[in-house]
This record gives sequence, structure tokens and C-alpha cells, in this order.
Amino acid sequence: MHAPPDPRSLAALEARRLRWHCDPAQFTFNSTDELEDLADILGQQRALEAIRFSVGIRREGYHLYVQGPPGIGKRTVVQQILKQRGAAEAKPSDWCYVNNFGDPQKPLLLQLPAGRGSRLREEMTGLVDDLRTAVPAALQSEEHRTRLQEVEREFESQHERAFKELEDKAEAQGVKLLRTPTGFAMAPLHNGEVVGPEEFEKLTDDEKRRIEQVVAVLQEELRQVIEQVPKWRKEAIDKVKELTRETTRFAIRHLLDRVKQSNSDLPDVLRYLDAVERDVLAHSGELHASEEAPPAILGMPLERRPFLRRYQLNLLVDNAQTAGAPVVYEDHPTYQNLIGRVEHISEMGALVTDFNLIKPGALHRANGGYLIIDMLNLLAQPYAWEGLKRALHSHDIRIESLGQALSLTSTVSLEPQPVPLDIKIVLIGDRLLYYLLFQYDPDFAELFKVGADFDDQIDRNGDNCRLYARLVATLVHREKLRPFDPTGVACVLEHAARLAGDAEKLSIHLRSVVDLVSEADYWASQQGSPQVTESHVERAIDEQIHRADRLRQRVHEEIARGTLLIDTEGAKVGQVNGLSVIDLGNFAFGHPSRVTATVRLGKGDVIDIEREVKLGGAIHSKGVLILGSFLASRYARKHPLSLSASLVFEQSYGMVDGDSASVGELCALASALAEVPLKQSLAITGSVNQHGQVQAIGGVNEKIEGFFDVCAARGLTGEQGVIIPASNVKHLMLRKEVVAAAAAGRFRVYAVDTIDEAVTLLTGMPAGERAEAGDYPPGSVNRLVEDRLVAFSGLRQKFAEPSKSEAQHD
Amino acid sequence: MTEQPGAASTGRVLVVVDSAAEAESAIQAAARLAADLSAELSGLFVENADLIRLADLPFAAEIATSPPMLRRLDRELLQRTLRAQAEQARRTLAEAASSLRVQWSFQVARGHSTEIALTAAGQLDLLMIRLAGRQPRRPIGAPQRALGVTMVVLDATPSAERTLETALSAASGGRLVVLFAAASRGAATIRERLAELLARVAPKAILQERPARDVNDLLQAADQGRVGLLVISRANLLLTETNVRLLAANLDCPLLLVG
Repeated sequence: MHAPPDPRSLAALEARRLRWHCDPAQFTFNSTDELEDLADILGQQRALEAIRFSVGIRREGYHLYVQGPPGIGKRTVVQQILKQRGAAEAKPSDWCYVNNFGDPQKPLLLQLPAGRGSRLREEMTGLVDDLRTAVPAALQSEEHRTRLQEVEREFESQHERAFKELEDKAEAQGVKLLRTPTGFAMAPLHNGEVVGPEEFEKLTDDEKRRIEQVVAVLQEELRQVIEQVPKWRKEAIDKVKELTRETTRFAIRHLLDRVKQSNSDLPDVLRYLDAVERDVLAHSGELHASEEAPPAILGMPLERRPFLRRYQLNLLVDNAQTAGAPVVYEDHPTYQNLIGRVEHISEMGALVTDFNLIKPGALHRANGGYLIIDMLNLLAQPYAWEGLKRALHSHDIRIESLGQALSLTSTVSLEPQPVPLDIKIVLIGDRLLYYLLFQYDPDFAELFKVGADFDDQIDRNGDNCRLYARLVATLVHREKLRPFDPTGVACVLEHAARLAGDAEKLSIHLRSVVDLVSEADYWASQQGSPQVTESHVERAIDEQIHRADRLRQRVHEEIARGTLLIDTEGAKVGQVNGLSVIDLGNFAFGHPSRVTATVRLGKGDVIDIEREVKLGGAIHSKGVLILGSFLASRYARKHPLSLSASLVFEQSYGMVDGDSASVGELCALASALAEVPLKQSLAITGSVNQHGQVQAIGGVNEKIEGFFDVCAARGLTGEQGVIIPASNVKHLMLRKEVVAAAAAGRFRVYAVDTIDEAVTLLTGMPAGERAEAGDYPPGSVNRLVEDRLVAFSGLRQKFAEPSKSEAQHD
Repeated sequence: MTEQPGAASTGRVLVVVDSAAEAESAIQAAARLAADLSAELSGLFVENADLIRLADLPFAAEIATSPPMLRRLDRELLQRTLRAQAEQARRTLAEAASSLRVQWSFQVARGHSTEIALTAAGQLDLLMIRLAGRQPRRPIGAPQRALGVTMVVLDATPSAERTLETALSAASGGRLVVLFAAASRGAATIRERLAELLARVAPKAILQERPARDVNDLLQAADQGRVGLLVISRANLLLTETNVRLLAANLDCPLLLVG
């Protein structure tokens, strides 16, 4: 139990405790130009160690998740470290897709030493150009055509000879070979004329039989000759093919040999070139035809892909110009941008594709190095996270369209040979995502075993202040800004403390610092100053606030006009000035809110009106329930708490959450019970526990400044001030004008540890300590509260007892 | 016989075809020629009498080529087929002649193709003959030879110039090969005159000078040159009655006899 506060001992905080002042004299430089750049990011030692560990360890699943608030500089740091490390590592291979002549739907992969891919591609392009002219030229050559004609004539001669022999044989036996509309016939002759039916009838039976037999034999021989024709033709076609193959082989051999010699150290390439040779020989006819005019339908030429595309090389990843291991940042991590895709082109209304239309994804480009992705972006893209995990689990990249995977399309596509994957993935995101994924996605814990947690503030001490000055210098150099003088640096540090919301800490939120120094440089340039000084930094801060504080102005204006009812003078029973903060993301401000309490006889309930109408959050409700518990434990030890109380934030039409008003609410409740008025010149913030201890809250600076602004607008009386938890004093980084008013005695900030201190300050009466006999001293607020509660209890008992008449009647 | 009105004619082009399936190109070429010469176009389809006689024999059979099989040669079926082929030839001729505004006629005869052709043609007529021949010079199933190359056979007879003019008209801008097969005295003079004429009217024509002792030399030259139309004067010294029959029966392309 704390000693009872003496109203006279509850003095306001000294002005020097309301803001940390950074003394420029502590710096030994005159300009940031004299300072060296920081080698490492400031105050992120733990995160840096985690990053270096993850990058260094080459084990499965040790991918990295970099967590921390946005704007802290995570990506910059990670890229810097990865680039440094990557530069010392070996270049990864080039990767190419080439046609699979055996199964064009499954293109083959070629792995080449870095830089050799582009060379081979040029060689294959040259080869294709040469094939385009060399093969048709060879096949159109006089020599080749003559040889083909020889084959054809040989076939024709064979055919003619067979028929001539048969015809001669038939003629010798008195039979003539006739052409019919669909074939041939053997006609017996008599005196050089075909025998007619009458003549035939006149012949003897033996003669008829002989003729029939002769004709039958000749017919059979003729049938056999005709049957031989397709065989002869097949032989001739085979000879033509073989001739064409030989001619083509002769024409292309030296072309291919040149490419083979250039790649003699690459067995896979040599095997591929052998396959190219076999395919060219097998398709020399198409090569020849591909040079002719494209076919047309209704006069419209068919847009066919050139046949020679099949010999081109699709250089998927070219690391010729890469220095060391690649570091790739993918800012649009869609499934296709990560995994790669197979594009299609329209050909006569149908979508077709080939290996030349395989496009790489970020995983291909970063293979052998590092890939950085923003986690939120990744999760926002359908199936991208699943695709990435699948690739990491299988250690290869399988290009498969989403349409294919989900069976949404039936367009013929490719199944390219998977690319082996050797990569370190760095995901960047906030902490909440990290914890959620760790909790709910088992794959995440398995794959991303290293978390690098970026802090957003550092301790304020001499060393860190000097390092911070170097951080400002580093930013000045990097952004090519005007140098800062010590006062400018000191002002940046003070603002860093304010951003941290803690006079003993400095914010290392890089984006905010970069913005501030850049804007201060701008204002210095507007004034033609060669250096950035305190005034420029202050101007930058003021302008930032001015750009964002439209809403604050409106709220304060409505208070000044009496639309929002806030008293800053006098005293009222059951009414206190609470303080709340509105956070707009890039700007937060505080303003007073009237909190009122009413009491009546009841069953011990403290009604939170905000909660009843579902405008109160859980934390606020918790605070109000603690009040009820506090009242019961302090004042209703020997009798039931026969109170019903209501608490409300007046003129509040939005959600209220947080327990920072609970001290104020308790004071209002005590005031209502004791019927003692509370000073309206004071505002109060702080949470309270069941024992009446006042606990720290957030946004203390904005809250104090919010009430100060309202009072300043009405005129400071010297009586106005704010009561805050003592544990929040270390967080004070108030605006200079508030500090100045406090120093002049025109505004006060009180720090309290207990509810009794707060009650004492607000009522001007002692709270009162319970004597050994068990009672609070007469005239104290606690005594008045307890007496009222005892009275409520007595009344309740009285209402509960049956009346005498009723008892007698019973 | 059918007749259609057309332009006034100054002569006649007679095209004689039989059951050879490749009559169309000959008919088209004859129609173009008739149009060029403002001549009348006459078509004659010859039904082979030998075939019909054979079909009446009790054991008559034919060996079809595709697929090779022996089957009964039925007279009714044969006549129906021949009639259909004649009708197809007539339709082709009518369409070609109409499109070129040529007066035309068409008739069907039965007998021996070459005899009927020679009998039907007058001395001044142009006679285009496309007959099946006795045996296939081209392998069975091989595609029809394109009518791209026209070969004209000339000798030192006075008919040479008219024959060349006819061939130029028949070639219709296509490739023309002039085979000068004359070894007689005075041939050199004619050859020079031909060369001069060719240089003027058909600079792309190829003039070949080679001996042609008999019809076989002509057949060989036509085969080797993949000739689509052979043009020769009926006055050519090589063309005896027998040789005309041989040429018509064995040539694997239409034969144009210049009267």
C-alpha cells in the first residue's frame, strides 16, 4: 500500500523532464561531410547476424524471412549484404531450352557454362541461316537433280521392261495387251484382230481351252507385274530419300562440324548437335519446301512458323554479363513471373506453342544466387506461394501453366524438362505474417528456418547518438544532400526520439529519417543555405505535420466553437477530461474527450455504455470491469457492493478501445459517489489495476499536446495541465512550445503512481488512507465514497427485508 | 453430236481422246489453241472396239491396277464406264470452249483410236491426239505429266515455219523446246532462219539440234525432256502412216499433228 498522497507534495514535473534535449555541443564535427559513412545498418545487429547465418549456411530449408515494420530499410540492407556476398561467388550456369526432336512437347534443357549460352545461340542462329540456303541449294543442284532423274528413269525402265517383255510374250502367243478404263486385259488375236464371240464359238474345244489357258497364264503374269510396281516404287522412293539424305549430309556436315568444334568440351551440346544432324537429314524435304511461298487459303497466306525454328536455341538464362551470383528482386511475384511460363501464338485461330516460347521466371534468373520477394505481394498473388514452395521442396523449376494445373484449358502446351534449382530465397514482410505463417503453414517452418528480426528503435546513449550522426551523414552522402551542421543533426535525433515515442530511445525507421533529411535539405535550399540547420529540420517537421493535420484542426476547431463539449475551467461532479489518440497512419494526434459517470442503487454493476452499444473494444471493457473489481475490493469489504454505475465517453460516435481512460473513469466514478467535483482544468490519462496502481499507456506525448492545444486556444491560465502515469515520464518528448509553457508555469504535467494521487490532484482534497481501525479519515474522498456505498448497501438491505405489516400478515 | 455457237472459225482443231484418264489436259490445250487460231474445236471420243469385242468373250477378264486383282470384264459395265468417260470429256470440252468463246462440237465413235483420228482429221486440220496406248510408258500410279514443256519437232520441210507458229501458240508462253532433226542439205539455212525467228518471237525457247532417225528417237526425246505436248507436222519426213500410229500409241503426252 502506498503512503497517502499529500496534495501539497504532488508537484508538476519540471520542464526539463518533459523533453529530451539533444545538445549539439556533444558533437565534435562542424558538418556531416566530416563524418564517415556507416559500414552497417544502425542498431540491427541481431538481424544482420541472422541474415549472414542464413546466407552462409548451405543446407536445405535455411531460407530467410526478414521481418520488421515497413520502411525500416530491410530490403536495402538485405540487397547490400547479398550483393557483397554474391560478388564473391561463382557465376551460375546459362540455361537453354532446345527442341526435343523425339518428343517436341517435352523440350530438353541444356546447362552451359556462364556466357556460353549466348555464344551457342549465335552459332545456332548462324547454322539456321546457313541451312536455309545450303540445303535447298544442294537439293536444287544440277548434280542432285540428275541423280534423282537417274533413279526415276531406272524405275520407269524397270516398269517399261516388264510390260514390254509381257507384251512381247503375249504377242508371240497370239494375245494382245489392251488398256481398259481401270486396268489391263489380255485379248486373244486371230489374223491380227481381237477374236470376237462368234469366231470363238467356232473354235474347237481344245483350241478354246488352249486360248483360255494361255490368257489365264498371261493374266497371272500381268497381275504379278502390276503387284511388283508398288515395290519398285518404294525402292525408288527409298533411293531418292537416301540420295537426298546423302546430298544434305554433304551440304550440312561442315556447317555442323564448325559448331561441334566450337563446343567440343560440352558433351551435352555435342549430343544435341548429333540430334540436329539426324533431324535435318530426316526433314531435308521440309527444309527445301520451307523456302517456298507459304500456302494460302482464299488468297490469304497461312502465317506458319518457319520450319527452321526447330533448330534455334531458347536462351532462358544468360549469365554472360552477371558478376558473381545473381541477386534478383521480384516486385511482381505472380505465379508465372516466379515459375516462368509457356506463351502461345495464334495460328489460323488456334493457339500453338513451341520451345522457343518458354519464358523464364524469377526463379530461373536467380538460380545459383538469391531471390528477394515481398511476402505480402507474394501472398496476394494466387498460387504464387504454393508454386514457390513446390519448387523449393522439389529442388527444380517445373514450368506448368495455371490453366494446365487447374485443368481450366485444354490448349496443347509443353512439358519442359525441369531446371535444377539451387537458390536462397529471402522473403521480406512484417512480423504478423511471420508468426501467422509459422503457426499455420507447416511448410513455412520447414523451409524458412531463419528469421531476421529488424528492430525499429535503439537505446539513446552517447555512442548511439554519434552513430546516428553518421547515419545522417551516410544518408546525406547517398542522397547527395546538403551537409547537416550539429544543430541540424541534434534536431534529427530529437525527432527520432519523438518517433520512438520514448525519450530514452531513438527510432531507426529509415524511411522516416530519409524523408526528414531530404525535406530539411529542400527547405535549406529554399533559403539558399549551404548547410542544413536546426531551423530547416524543424521546418520540415512542421510542414510534415501541417500537411497531415487537417483532421486535428477540425477537431480542435469544434472544441473551440463549443460543438464538442470540453471544459477547461471550473469543477464538475462525475465528469473528467479523458484523452484519446487518433492515428492516421502517417500522423497521430490527441484530443480531450469528456468522460462522465453516474451512480445509483443497484447490484454492483458498472455499466460500460460503449460496450452496451458495441462501440467499445475488448480492452476498454476489460478496463471498466477492473474498475468494478477495484471498487468492490476497496470499499465493499464488509457489505455488498450495492451500486449501479454507468460510464460513457460523451460525444463519441466511433469505436473506443484501450484502457488508457480507466484512471479517468475511476476518478469520475469516485467523484459521482463522493459527490465531490473534479477540476476541469486538468485532463487525465492512464490505466489502473485492481489495486489502484496507475499503469503506463501509449501516445502520451500526443495526448498531452492535444489538451495543451485546446487550452492554449482558450488561453492558458496556469491551472491547466495533464495527469499521466509516472511510468510514462520517460516517454515524454513534448513539443518545444509545451515545454516552454511548462517552464513558464502556464501549463503543468503531473505524474502519478496511484489512483489516490490522481483523485487528490483532481479534487484538491486528500484521498484518505484507511486507519488501523478500518475507516477512512473523515473529509477524505475515500471516506465519502465508502459512506455512500454503505448507504447504498443499507438501502438495498432495507428494500430486501419484508415490511412489518407484510410479516404479520404472513 | 452437240454444237454451240461461238466466234467465226477459220479452221478446225480436232482433239481425239479415248478411255485414257488424262484427256483433260489435251482438251484444255486444244481449246486454247483453237481460241488462239480462231478455229473451231471438235472433240472425238473413241471407244476401243477391241475392248468391246473382248468383253463378249466368255473368259474375258481384266486386271485392275489399284488394287491389283483379276476380275470379270463385264460388257455392260464396260459400256457404262466408257459412256461416262465420254460424257466427262464432252463436259470438259464444252466448259473450256465456252470460257474461251470457241465454237465446238463433240462426237463419240467406236473403232481403233488412231485410225479413226487420222480418218476424221482433214488435211489442214490441227489434230490433237491423247490416247491410252497399249502399254503404260509412265509407271502405274505416277502423277500425270504437267503440260509445262512443249516440244516441237522440225525438219527442213516447208511446213517448219507453220509448225513452229502453231507450237508457239500451243505453248502459250510456257517453256518451248525446238528439236531440229534435219540432216539434209540446206538444213543449215533453215536452221539459221529458225534461230533468227526464235530470237525475235520466243527468246526463251531452247533450240536443240539432234538426229531423229525414227519414232523411238522422238519418244526418247519427249521422255527425257518430260514433255507435256509434242508438236510435229504431218508433212514431217519421219511421219509415215505407221509412225503416226506408233507415236500416238506410245507417247506419254498429247500429240499435236499440224496439217
